[in-house]
Order: sequence, then structure tokens, then C-alpha cells
Amino acid sequence: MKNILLIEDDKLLGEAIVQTIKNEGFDVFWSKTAEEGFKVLELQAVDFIYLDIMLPGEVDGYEILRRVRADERFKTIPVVMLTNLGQMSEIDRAMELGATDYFIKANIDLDQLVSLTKQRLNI
Amino acid sequence: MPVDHLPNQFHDLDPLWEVIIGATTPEQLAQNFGGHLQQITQSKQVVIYRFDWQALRGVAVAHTGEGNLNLGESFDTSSSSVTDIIERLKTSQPVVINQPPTQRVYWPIPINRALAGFVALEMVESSLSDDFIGRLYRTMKFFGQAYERLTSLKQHQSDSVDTHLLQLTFTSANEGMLLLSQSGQVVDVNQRMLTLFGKDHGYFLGKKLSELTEIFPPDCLQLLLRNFGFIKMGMAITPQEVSLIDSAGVKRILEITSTSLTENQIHQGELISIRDITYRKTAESQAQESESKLRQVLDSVKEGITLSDSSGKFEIFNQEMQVLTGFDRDQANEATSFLEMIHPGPYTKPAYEALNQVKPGEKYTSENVILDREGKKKYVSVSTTMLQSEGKTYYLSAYHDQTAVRLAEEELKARNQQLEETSAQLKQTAAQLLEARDHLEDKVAQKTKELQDKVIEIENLAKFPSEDPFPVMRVSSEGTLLYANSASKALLDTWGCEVGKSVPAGWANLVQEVFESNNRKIFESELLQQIISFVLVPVKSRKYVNLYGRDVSREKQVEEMKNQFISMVSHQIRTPLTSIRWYSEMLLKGVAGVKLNQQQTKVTETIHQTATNMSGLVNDLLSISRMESGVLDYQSQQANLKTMIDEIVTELTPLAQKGGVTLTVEVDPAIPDFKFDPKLIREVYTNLISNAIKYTKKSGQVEVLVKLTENQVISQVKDTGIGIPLKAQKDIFTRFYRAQNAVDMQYEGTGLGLSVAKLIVEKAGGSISFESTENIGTTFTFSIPLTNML
Repeated sequence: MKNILLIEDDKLLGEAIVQTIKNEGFDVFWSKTAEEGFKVLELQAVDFIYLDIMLPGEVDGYEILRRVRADERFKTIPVVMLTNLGQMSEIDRAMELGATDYFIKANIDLDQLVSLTKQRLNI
Repeated sequence: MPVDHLPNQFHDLDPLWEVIIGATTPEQLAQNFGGHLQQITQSKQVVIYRFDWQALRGVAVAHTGEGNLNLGESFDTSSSSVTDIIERLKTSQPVVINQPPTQRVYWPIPINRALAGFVALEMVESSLSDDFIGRLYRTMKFFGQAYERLTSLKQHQSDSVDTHLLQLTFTSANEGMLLLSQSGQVVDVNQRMLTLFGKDHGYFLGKKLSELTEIFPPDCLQLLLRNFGFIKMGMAITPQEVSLIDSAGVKRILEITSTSLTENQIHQGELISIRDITYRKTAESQAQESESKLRQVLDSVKEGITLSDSSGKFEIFNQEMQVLTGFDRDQANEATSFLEMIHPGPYTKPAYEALNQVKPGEKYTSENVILDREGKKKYVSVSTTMLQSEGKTYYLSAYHDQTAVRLAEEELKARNQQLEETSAQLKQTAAQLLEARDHLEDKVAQKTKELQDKVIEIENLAKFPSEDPFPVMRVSSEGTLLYANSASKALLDTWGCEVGKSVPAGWANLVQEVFESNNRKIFESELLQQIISFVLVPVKSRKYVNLYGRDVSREKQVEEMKNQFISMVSHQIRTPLTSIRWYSEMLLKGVAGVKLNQQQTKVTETIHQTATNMSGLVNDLLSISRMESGVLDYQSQQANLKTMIDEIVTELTPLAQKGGVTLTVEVDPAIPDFKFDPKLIREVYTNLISNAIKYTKKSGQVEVLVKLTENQVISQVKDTGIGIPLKAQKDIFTRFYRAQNAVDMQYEGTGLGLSVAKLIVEKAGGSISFESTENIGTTFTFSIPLTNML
């Protein structure tokens, strides 16, 4: 069973994602802050990470991404940015930092999210 | 009757004056001594004259005819010497008194054997004249027949008055005389002869001429003998000069005259008279020497010297004059008018004028022309002086050849003339030049004014960059800063650059790039919290690039703010939208724990669709805002088109399925990885394909075809949808435009998509077009150039 880590601070959106992914049979770890997310990473074997950019606190999605990519253990985990920020510069930045993909939540349906995730996980 | 005592005048005379007393009348005296007599006084008995003639000086007393003359009483007996002389004379012997330089001879004049008087003669040797003897004899004549007596030359001595007188004359003559007989024997010899040769009577008398070897040197003797011969034959002999040594050992020059003595045409004998002319000769030679010296001087002088008398006869005509005129003295004297000959034509008058104008003691100088013997023309300066000597007038002239000088003068004159002409010409030329210059100056002034006006105009125009509040610079194609306005200062400070120096390398490269491509380029530079956007404009012909700065800081700031705002707003809007969309989706899927009925499903679908549309709107707004900020950042990167298209298709498949539309994709596998902007190109594909799906009814088809050509990728999105009405076709790419039929479809659409897609495709360097027929379908075609393929 694949473990998916979701780092998302919006309750409603997070709920929707979690339910949808769970229905597909994945294990979902939902962290609402960066710290929580890191804890999960440490403790769990994560196969996939959904990463929101706008997060409370000082550490934002980019930072998490950077750290994840800098860490030998997590370097290879696919990281997909899930955000509603859509400026070119933001996308570029994420891709440069090593994001696997970048989705604008408002532009995709949950179905699409699932199918794309499956694609990334080669399922 | 005794002679009256001689009057006082007689006593006043020089005691050397001797008296001639003679039985002669004034008339007879006058006959012999003519103009040489000067009456002193007259008494009843006598008339007393003074006479002075050459060697003879004395007093002549003429008997008027009344009474007898008594000799003794006619003298002043206080003079003892005279008394002595008279006593001696009474012996009928002549008395000779030698008192150098004079010699006095007294001859007694006996009348009736009584001493009637005497002839006294004083002689100065140097003033001896040639015909002295002749004169003497003639003097003698009026004292009797002495002259005739002498010439008849009777051998025997007669005691007639005449013979005696002659004898005395002969004896006492100052010339040495030798009387020879017919046969050539010496008959008589006079005292002088004896003194001359230091011999006595005895030596001479009776000797033949040829025997006089002790006195005459052989050559002289020969001469005398020869003469004697000639005379015998009746030939006349001219006086000859000989030189010999006398008894005192002194060299003397003698003049020997041989005279034939004839009586009744019969040669009776010869008189040889010998005159000592040594003195004279010396004087002559001295004179000659002086003359010769004078001639030498005259000939050495570089002026022609002439001395002529008033008749024009030349006494002096020196060497130089000969050279000057080509004539010598004799030729000059032969000419009728030498002056006219050498100064012909117009020059004659000035030549004579010199002679006319000159005054004694003054020098008259004039200039004239000589034509010499060869006809050569010479310029001379003539100085003439008048001299007077012995009552005669002489003209002394000096001729100075000035030809060379004159010629030089004339040449100088000619040159001067030339110079003057040239000078005049130059003056003229100068005047012309001045005129031209004035003319030019006017023109120049005019032009200058025009130019100045232009300059002012240009300066005014040129002020714009200087007044521009933003940097305006000019850089040469090689990177040298040519101009920078004052607003550029801050920038130049950071560059450490100034006009004339090179700009920083980075800028120089940029300038060069712009210059070579000859295209404008925009470059942003941050400077002291300002962002200056420079437009670089190349000026190929001038080899420089102009840089026009624009402060875009505020713009940037505004843009930044806008972006941030948009970012924030889009985020803020998108989040709830996402919720709406997802929750409505969950409802539809039945995941929310509820199963919806048909109506509920429809309602929920509407909610979901609306939310989706709104998302689309937000997307479009974000795109538009990017476009409107002027910067659609097309950033190429190496990427794989097929992969992207596959993803897109995957994304859109659900939409297609929902609409009941078949979506097919065909991508040419030969398309290599190439450089394009994946984000933006993705948008194009997404836009076109989703449009195709949207506007195609159920069971319609949407095809995506991507082909590769030589240097492009051609993509086609074909649908069998509602198509675009002809009317609407021209506006389809216009922003916010939606064709009526699309509107009628009740599909939400912002109308932004196609305009964005067009912008992106064109930014990529490609083009977009479509074909469409209402109710049949639409095909959109666009191309992307292949750039930088691997």
C-alpha cells in the first residue's frame, strides 16, 4: 500500500483530497504544517508527497521541497505541488527546486488528481 | 763835346749792365735791335736805351749827331773795374771777364785808331740761342765792315777795324771755333776752343784736322773729316752731336756745326763751331725724363687724359684715351674735328658745351657718349679744366669710361621697371583678391548666420537629451562613451566611467550585439533602488548606439504590486472555488455518503460546472494580466512535446467522456526534443482541445494531429462541432469575443482563450489559423518553429 503525505493547511480542501485518495486505497498522512509533515517523513515511509505552498508559519512549501530534495532519504520521493498560486514564476521556482509536478487545485477535478497521481506512481 | 753825364737812371741800373757806346744813330740801333730797345733818356747829344734780348743785355747809347762822343767821360769813374777794362781795351785787345754763371766780353771799337767805344756783352750760357753768331755778326755790321771782312776770310791779318773786330769776335766767342783753310789746316782757334779742350794755340795752329787726335776721339774725328769733305763739295751739314771726355775728365756733349766759308762762290775754308750742350742735354734729358715720367703716369692712369690747345691740337693724349677712342694722338690731331668725330650727332653739342662752359681754375664735368673707331658706343664722364700758360689757353680733360656703370644702371632701371610692372600687377591682383575676399566674407557671414541659426536650432533640439530626467547616452560601436546627459551621472558613477572612456564590458557587449544585429533591444538595469529600462537604438551609419533610459521602477513596483495582488486574489478566489468544485464532485460521485437522484445530480452538476467555469475565468484573468503588463515571458526550454500532449489529453479525457466526444491523438514520433515554453504551449493545446470538446455535440469527434515538417511542428485540433459562423470568423481572436452560437450553447466561456493562444503561438515564433463551417466543424492549425534541436 502506498503512503501518501499531504501537507495542506486548508481544512475543507484537505478533507476532500484525503477522502478521495483514501477511496482509491492509499494511505494518507495529512499534515497541516511543515513541522508535522517533517515528522511524518521521519517516522513513516512515504511514497508520494502532495505539497501546498501557502502554509502557516515561516516554512512554506518551497522550503519543504528544498529540504526534502536535499535529504538523501527523501530525494527520490515524487513531490507534487498542489496549490492555487499560479504565477509563472512560482511554477518555475518549484520546478527548479525539484518538484515532480505542479497542479493548480482550482483547475483540476479530484478525478484528474487521482489519475495523475496514479500515473506518477506508475500504477 | 763830352757826353753829358749819364743821368741818374743809368746809375740806378745794375752794375752788370754794360754800356755800348757807338757811333750810331737811334735809327741804326732800331734797325738792329728793333723791339728790344727801351728808351731811358734823351739829351742833346745822346739817346740812351736799355736793351734786353736773350743773351744780350746792355745799354745802348745813340749819338744824335751833334758833337763828338768822348768815351772816357761817359763812364762813372768810380767803378775802377770799368777803368781797368777801358785801359786794356785801349790796347785793342778784347777783355773777357768770367763771372759764372755769366761771362762778359768787352770789344774795343776803334775809330780812327782811337778807342771810340766798346761793345760789351754779357752772356748766360743756358740762354744761348742758335743763331747767336749770326746775330753777333749783324751787331758787328753796324760797327763797320767787320762782318764782310770776316766772311771773306783773308789769311793775313789786317789791322782794319773790321778784321780786328771779327778777330775779336772770333776769339772771344763763347762757342769753340776752329777755322780751317781750304786745305784743311787750322788757321785759327778761339779761346773757348782752348778752354774746352785744355790746349793752347800752339797745339792747334797749322795742324790738319786729322792730326787733332788728342782732342777728338776717333769717331768724332771721322765725322769732322767727312763733313769737311761734304762741305768742300758744297753740301750743307746739319749740326751733329758728339760726346767726349774733356780735359777735366768730365763727360761732355758737344754740338758741332760745320759751316762753309765762301767768298765769291769760292770755298775759302770752314768754320767748325763747337757748342758745349752738356748742360742743355742734361736739362733736355731731365726734361725728357720728366716728360717720360709724366707720360708713364698719364698712361697708367685709368682715365683718358688729353691736353689740347684752343685750336684743338693735342699735346697730351694718353694710353687710356687711345683705348677709349681707338685713335692715337697723331690721328686725333689729323682729324678736322676730333671732338665731332668721337662725339657724333646729338653728342657733339654737349661736347662743345664743356669747352664753352669751363672757366679758368674751375672744373666742368658732364656726361656724354663716345663712338670709338669701331663704332662702339661708350658712356663717359668728362671733366674739363682750363689752363692758361704763356698767354695761351689749354684744355685739360679727363675721360672716365662709365659704360659698365651705365649698363649696370640701365639694367637696374630695366629691372626696376620690371619690378614696378610686377608690383603693379601684384597690386592689381591684391586688389582683386581683396574684392573677392570681401565678397567671400559677405557670403561667409551669410552662411555663418545660417549655420548659427541652425546650430541654435540643433542646440535647442539637442537640449532634449540634456534635459531628459532619465539617462540618455551614446556609446560607440566599440564601447566608448560618446555622450551622457546629466541624468546619467549616477549610472556613470557606478560604472566608474566618463565620456571618452569605455563602458563596462557587459554593456559594451550589449552595445556591440545591438549594433551588429541592427535591431533595437530593451535592457533593464537596476541602479540605486531604481530600475532603468534602456532602449538601445543602433545608428549604423554613425557607428554608435543610442541608449534611452526610462525609469521603470514605479512600473515595476506597480507591476510587482499587481502581481502580488493578483496572486493573492487568485489564490483567495481559487481556494473556495476549489472547495465548491471538489465537494460538488464528491456529491456527484456519491463519496459523500449520499446517492443523488437525477434532479439532484443535475443541480450539483450545475454547481460543479459553474465552479469550473469560474476557475477558467480566474485562469484567463491571470493570463490577461500577464499580457497587459506587456511581458509575456516566453521561456524556451528543451522539452518533449509528445509527453506534454499526452498529459494534456489525459487530463481532458474525462471532459471529453462527459460530453460524449471521442478524443483521438496522433503525434509524429519523429518530433525530437526541442526548445519551447512548455507551460505556455500547454495552455495553447489545452485551450484548443478543451474548446473543441466543449463546442462539439454528443458523439462528435475531436482529433489532435501533430506533424513534423522541415523546421516546424504543425499541430491541428479538428472537431465536428458547431463551427464558427462566417460573420464571426474575423473577430474570433479578439479578446472577450464570443460568437453568438457559442453564447447560445450556454457554455461559459470568457472569450479570452483564443486571444491568449494566439499571443503565445506568435511569441513562440509560429502562427495560428483556423477553418470552420457552421454546424460542420472547426479545425485550428498552429505551427511552432523548431529551435535549437539536439
